[in-house]
Amino acid sequence: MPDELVAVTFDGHSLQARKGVKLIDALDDAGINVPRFCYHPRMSAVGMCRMCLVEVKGPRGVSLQPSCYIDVADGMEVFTESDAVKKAQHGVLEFLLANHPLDCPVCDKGGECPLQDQAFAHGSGETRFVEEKRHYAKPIPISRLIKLDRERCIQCDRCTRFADEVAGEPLIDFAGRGGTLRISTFSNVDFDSYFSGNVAQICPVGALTTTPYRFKARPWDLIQSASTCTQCDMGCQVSLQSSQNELTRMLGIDSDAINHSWLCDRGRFSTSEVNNVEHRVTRPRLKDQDGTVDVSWTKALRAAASTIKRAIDERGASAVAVLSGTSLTLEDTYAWAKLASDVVRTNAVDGAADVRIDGSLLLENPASINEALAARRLVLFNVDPKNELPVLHLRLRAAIRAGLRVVEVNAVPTDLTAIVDRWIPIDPGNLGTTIDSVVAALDGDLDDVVVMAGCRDRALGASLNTALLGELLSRVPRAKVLSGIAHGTNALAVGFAPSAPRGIRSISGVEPSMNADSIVAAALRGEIAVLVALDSDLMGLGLTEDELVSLSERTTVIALSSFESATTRHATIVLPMSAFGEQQGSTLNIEWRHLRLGRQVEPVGQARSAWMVATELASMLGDELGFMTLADITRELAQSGGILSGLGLHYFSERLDGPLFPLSRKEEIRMQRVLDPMATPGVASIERQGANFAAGNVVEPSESPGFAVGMGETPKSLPSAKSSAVARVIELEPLSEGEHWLSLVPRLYDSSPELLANPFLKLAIREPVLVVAPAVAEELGLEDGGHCRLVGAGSAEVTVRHAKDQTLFLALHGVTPATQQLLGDQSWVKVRVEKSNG
Amino acid sequence: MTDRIVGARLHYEDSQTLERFLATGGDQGLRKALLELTPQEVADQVTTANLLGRGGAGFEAGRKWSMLRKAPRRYLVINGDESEPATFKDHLLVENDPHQLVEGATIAAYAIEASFVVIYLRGEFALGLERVQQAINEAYARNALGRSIFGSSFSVDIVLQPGAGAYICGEETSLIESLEGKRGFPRIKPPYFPAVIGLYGEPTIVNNVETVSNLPWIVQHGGEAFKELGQGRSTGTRLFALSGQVRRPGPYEVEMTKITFRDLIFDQEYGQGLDPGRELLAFIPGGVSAPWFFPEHLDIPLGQDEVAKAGSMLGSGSVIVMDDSSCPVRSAWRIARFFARESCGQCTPCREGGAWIDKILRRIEEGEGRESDLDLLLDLCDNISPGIKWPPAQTTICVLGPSIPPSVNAAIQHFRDDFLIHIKEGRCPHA
Repeated sequence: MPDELVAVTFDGHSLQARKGVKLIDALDDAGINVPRFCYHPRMSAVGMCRMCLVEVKGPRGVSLQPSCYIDVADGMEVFTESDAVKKAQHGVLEFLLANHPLDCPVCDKGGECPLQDQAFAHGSGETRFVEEKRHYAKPIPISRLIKLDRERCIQCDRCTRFADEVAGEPLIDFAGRGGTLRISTFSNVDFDSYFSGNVAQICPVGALTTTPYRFKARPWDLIQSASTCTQCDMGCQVSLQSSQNELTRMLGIDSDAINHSWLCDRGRFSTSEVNNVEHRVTRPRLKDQDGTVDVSWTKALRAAASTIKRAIDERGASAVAVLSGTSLTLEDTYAWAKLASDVVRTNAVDGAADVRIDGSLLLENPASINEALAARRLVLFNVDPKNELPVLHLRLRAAIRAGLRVVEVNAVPTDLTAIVDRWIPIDPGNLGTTIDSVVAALDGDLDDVVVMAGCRDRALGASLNTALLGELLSRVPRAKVLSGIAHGTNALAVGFAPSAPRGIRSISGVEPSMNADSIVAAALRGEIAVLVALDSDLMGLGLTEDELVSLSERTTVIALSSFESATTRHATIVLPMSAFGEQQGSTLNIEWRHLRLGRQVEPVGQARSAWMVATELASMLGDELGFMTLADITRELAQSGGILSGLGLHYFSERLDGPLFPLSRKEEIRMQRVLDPMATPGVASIERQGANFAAGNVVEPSESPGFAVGMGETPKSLPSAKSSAVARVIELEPLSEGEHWLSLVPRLYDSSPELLANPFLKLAIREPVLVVAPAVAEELGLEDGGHCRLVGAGSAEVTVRHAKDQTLFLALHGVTPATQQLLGDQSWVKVRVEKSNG
Repeated sequence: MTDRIVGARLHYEDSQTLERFLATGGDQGLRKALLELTPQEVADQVTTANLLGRGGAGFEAGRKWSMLRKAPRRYLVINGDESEPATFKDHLLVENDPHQLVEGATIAAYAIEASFVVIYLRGEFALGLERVQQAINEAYARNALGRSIFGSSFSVDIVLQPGAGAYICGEETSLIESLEGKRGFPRIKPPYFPAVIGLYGEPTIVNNVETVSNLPWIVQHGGEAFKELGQGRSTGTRLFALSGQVRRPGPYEVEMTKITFRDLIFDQEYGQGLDPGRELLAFIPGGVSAPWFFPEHLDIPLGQDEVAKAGSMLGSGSVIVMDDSSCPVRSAWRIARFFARESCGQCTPCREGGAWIDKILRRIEEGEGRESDLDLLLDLCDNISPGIKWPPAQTTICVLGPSIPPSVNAAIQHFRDDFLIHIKEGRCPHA
């Protein structure tokens, strides 16, 4: 819907402005910059700093008004350059600087500081303030990641507003009043938030700094490029910055389609693990009778190729399995998919172990993030955005504040449950009515519904999850679907997983049909000769270290990995892989949007990109993948005739974020916001840096070559995942005496090799916690803070917390190797609860 | 003290008791309102009376009520957060005639059809809080509050809320924030009036203690009778809190416009003049945010428009007298320091400007001043309230910021020599 326009006069120029926007935004649109500190385009206006005063003509004459707080009105006459305006701005700036320590030379913000910039533009060269300045103890750590310098603070309310309004975690607030107004945490409660880094990014002075970046570099020494955070498939747009071949920090870029400039701490501080060389795999190595020896790439690859060749010859292609983890680029994924399918010709391939749902449901009628947030109704199905796609949690909170009506369907409540319209529990004791309740909650409003579909609850089997979602989609046939799965989009898009949408898989090659669980099970039974773990820790798939040891005795494990893990410890062949920020490429996010990845530093040691390793292995196996460069892969994908038809890098020169795929999807390109240095200090020049990513040529889709990621046939004739799903009876075997339903849900800081490599974030790792409804706890005699042993397929010792939310049964928070032991192949996991003997 | 309207009962030793209240016409206004008049008729009487708000801004109470947005839920808040130096008229009414306050609040609630009233009293009013609570309890006990008051169909509850020690919570939107359990930050405008969006987002009227204490009389005697007192826009009586260097400081209820500042300060009936041998240096006609008056202003009558025309305001009704033994530098500093300490800290000019002016004035007072400080002070005042005009230009969220310049400006403009003696000789000529 085009914006309604009104006639305004800015500084004597007759112009048109969008009706209803804040005057400051209209002035921005008109190219008139009004200085500001407290105003942030993604938060509500508070009018505190008074820096944006302009003169507005009203019925009682011209008066100074804060342009951030008044709406543009028809006929409005505004003066931004008058003497009164200049005097007011000059005065406010002098007031702000009066107590500011002016320690710019030792301040991290120096060089990219809105206060510094605006002092140059609107301030005086000399101070009239000869009094003693305010003094505070400093710096004060308000969390493990954030330090506060109260002397630099200009009380703009940005950080406190972010915490309260955007993150919904009001853990910092003002204390005191008047000249002693200061930011404070509450007594002994840290600013412990998944989103704490944002406050340092939006701080218009150096009052809030992040511990990892503190004193690391000067802004003018940083090299930056536009990239995409790959910690989850949200696809947050970032400015990736480095100094002296080391990643220094990551800042959010305001992408209207995706992250609105926000990042989560998991993403923002992931640069620290890339830099942690001690935890990185840096050289190829082989394990033999004499132990582990470093070898050359050639020798390692030869060993890998001959092992694979022998396995194929002796035991068939299916004895070679490939499991892939979360951080492969689209190009890496495609190269390995092609290697597995066309060269090795194995069906034992899973690059999307986290996708425990039929991927066809995700792609039949895809919705973008913005479509989901603008729908009349959004159904959150088995997804916990805060822990799985954290920045989406922020977008959802903002959309709900603006009126989005959400029906949440989850076995365990989330942090959104308190603010959604309706919460429908997935109750294993009463599954049959779940979807009835969801449809009823939509109040007959079935026309503009988006379902965000995930597979958050690990205790809920893939077939059951698919059946429930399938039933929902068949009952709301016009619903669009947005994937709520944090990892695996690239693999789904190129058919590198058995869960990939039907018809998207290779035509000439072999289709994946064994998933990660069955591959691991087969390996434990000795049926897999070679297991390639691509950036994948097998312990993350629920193996104990003992099982991993015994597996590696019978199976040759080839680990291509960025980080050391139990898997690299026990693998026969270990190959170093370049990590985030060390390689170019691209990736897809949950809405199938194509996003660029920037290379900002040299790979550590001898690390290489996974796609290069694939091409070399292919040639050593006597075949060719047919590409030598990234552009070759892009071209091949573009010509595949599948959902990635038309893929190209040229889009990135037009906009920060790339297009949605398939390209036939319509997207209203909203006005591209000019990067506002006051909103995102530190990333002002990213537009000019955008061309850093070599633009490819426009490639027209054409006939697909041998390996294809095409739909095969037109999507219309695909077997409907919906109808086949509905056919299944949703019925669980009832509990036996002493059994309980269990939910197992992930948390953002669940232990992983990457997280353990992060010196700052690893401190946030917590033991799994069993949250129990108070009534159930009483029945089982479980005390708050006590321990118990859960016995399912395996067993795990866990800490007990009594639920403060609507948790119905046993909810185990924390997906770890230990807790995954509980999972079997049932539709829903049942456990027995034993009193802990510890 | 003239025993006119709000202070009619105050000459009794036991004015705060229910017995005295009932024996001196208590409840009669409320009974008449509830049993004989419609809410609109009560409001009309108040409009006819042209009762001006007694909290400081002097806005017509009837007009304020008429701006109340239609809504199923409406609230009335009685502002008794009287915290300004030298202001003590509400203090008097709260402690010595709490029943009149409760009766007035109930009448106001009836007139605006509010079902819930909060009386917000300054937290330091320990005795007042006790007495108002007792008055509320006694009102419930005799059905002057609660369900179907006096058999009428009107029901209302009154809750007493003590403040937590912040002057800014006397600002009505800040008071509302405070009532909602939030930090006492004034709300940014628009919306301009709580009558549109007030307590808990509902339309709310905030009236001063003295304002509603007038209502029993107005209902009983009619708006016309009230209007006959005073003249022009200044009708009825006002309680003036006379303080400073007069021989008989205290609260005086006087008919508006009928006496002058000279009468109030020097008349035997009121202030009884200065100490022997002293001369009048200056006086502040309406609280510490008002521009100062000087001997030439003594013959201005105590009326809203009359004072405004002369460049100041009656404000909260506190008249502060300075004789020639008081130091204008010190006075200006004390006032600036008050505002600096009570600024909520939201707006930069008030937060930083107030604190800066406080520091400069203190330095001058302590003999460390520089001649350039005077121009600096005036320029800082100008940066807080452009033009240093009267009424002041406001570029901050609330009027606390613009309250800082008037006394600083008045002191510098009229007593520049005193400042210069402090600065050059490091001594105070008034010591």
